[in-house]
This record gives sequence, structure tokens and C-alpha cells, in this order.
Amino acid sequence: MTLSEEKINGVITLEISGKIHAEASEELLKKLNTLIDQGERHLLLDLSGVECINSSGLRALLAAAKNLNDLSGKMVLTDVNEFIHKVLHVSGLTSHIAVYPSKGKALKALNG
Amino acid sequence: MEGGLLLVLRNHLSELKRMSEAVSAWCKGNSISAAAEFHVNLALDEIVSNIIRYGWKDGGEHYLHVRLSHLANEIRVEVEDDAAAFNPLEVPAPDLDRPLDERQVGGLGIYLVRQVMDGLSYQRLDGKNLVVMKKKTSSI
Repeated sequence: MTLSEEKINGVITLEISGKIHAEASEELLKKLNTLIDQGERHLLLDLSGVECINSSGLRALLAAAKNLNDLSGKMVLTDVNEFIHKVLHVSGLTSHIAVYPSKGKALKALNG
Repeated sequence: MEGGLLLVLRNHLSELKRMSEAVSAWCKGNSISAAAEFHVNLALDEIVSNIIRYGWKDGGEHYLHVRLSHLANEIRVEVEDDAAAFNPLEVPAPDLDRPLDERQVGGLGIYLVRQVMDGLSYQRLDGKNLVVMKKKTSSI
């Protein structure tokens, strides 16, 4: 899994590629919690390069979303493929984390 | 001619990558849809990583067997191990309706397996756990 980060209009955008399994999900959660500890409250995760995610990955996303929620922040996901979208939906994550079809729409929602 | 797949995996998490590559190659060789391949890989990852993480407590080297077959529009996935008895059907589902601040972070793995596969069964036989999962592969 690779992570690349930039900040656009006060929103941290993290582009994630590869598989969000096991060790990768620990690394992802560590990164997200570090950003939150540094004071970031708006996180956009671009999943266009993500091939698959398992329950460890879902747990990492949920844990980070909970952490941000407690601090009145927000995390959104974009460019999720149909299979991963279904997994996010059946696991109930889409009730807690908004998913947008593109970065543009997500940024508009976060800044709007 | 379509054939089954047999994998013998060591009880080490590094084997998961080899498993998913072999499963993907087998699915492609059997003209199985991308959706079914994704779901079979997800389910196997959940079941097998649980066995590897929690199955054996002696720190020793152990093996588990994964078998795939495709017959009559259905993929049959078997996972067999000689670890301590563990029935995934007894794992309670997470409460998905709770608000975010009350959501428990765990419990998702087996729940996902039940959601994405079309059947999940368990037997304890001759000191071994046998999990059987099914995935329908209807032609569109």
C-alpha cells in the first residue's frame, strides 16, 4: 500500500493505492491518527488506487472516523470502486463516513 | 478442462498474499467474474487470517488447507485446519445500527463473509475444523 498526501483548501487529501489489509491497515490508522493529533480535522481519502480492503482496513477507517467525530472533524472517501463500495455499505461504514464519486465533489461538500 | 485448486498454507500471515494471488489466477482461469473473485478473496482472507492469528497457541509451524472447486454455477471453498475448535458461525454480528461513538471497532470479519458469500457452514471432524463457503456464479 502507498500513501501520498497533500493539503487543498485546508483539507488533507490522502491518495491510497494497493491493498488495505493487515499491516497496511495498521500503517493507515497510524497515519490518520498522526494527522488528527497534528490538528487536522478534515480528511479526504482518495481510494481510486485501492484494489481491495478487508475487515482490518474497515476497522482502521472506522477507528479514525470515530476519533475525528469525537473532535467534531470529518472524514470522507472518494473514487471507491463498486466492490469496495458494497463492502463499505454492508459493513455499515457508509452510515458514518460519506463517500463521494470524485475529489471535486468531496472538497465542495467539506468546504461548502 | 476446469480443475480445482488446492493450497497448503503455513500458519504465517505472509502466506495471505500467495493465497490471494493463487485464488485470483484460478478464478481468471475458470472465467469467474471479477465480483465473485473479489468476494471469494475477501472471505478467504478473513477466515484464513483468523485461523493463522488465533488458531494455534504453541508458536510452532502448522498448516492449513484451502480447496476451491467450480461446479454447476457455484464455487465451493473449503478451509481445513487442525487448530483448536473454532466455529465462525458462533461469532456475534456487530451492531451496525449504533451511532458512531458507540460502534465497537471489531466483529466485522465473519459478518462480511456471511454478507458476500452465499453459504457458510462449519464442522468439527477428527480433530479438525472444516469451514465450507459457497459463492454462486450465475451467468449474466
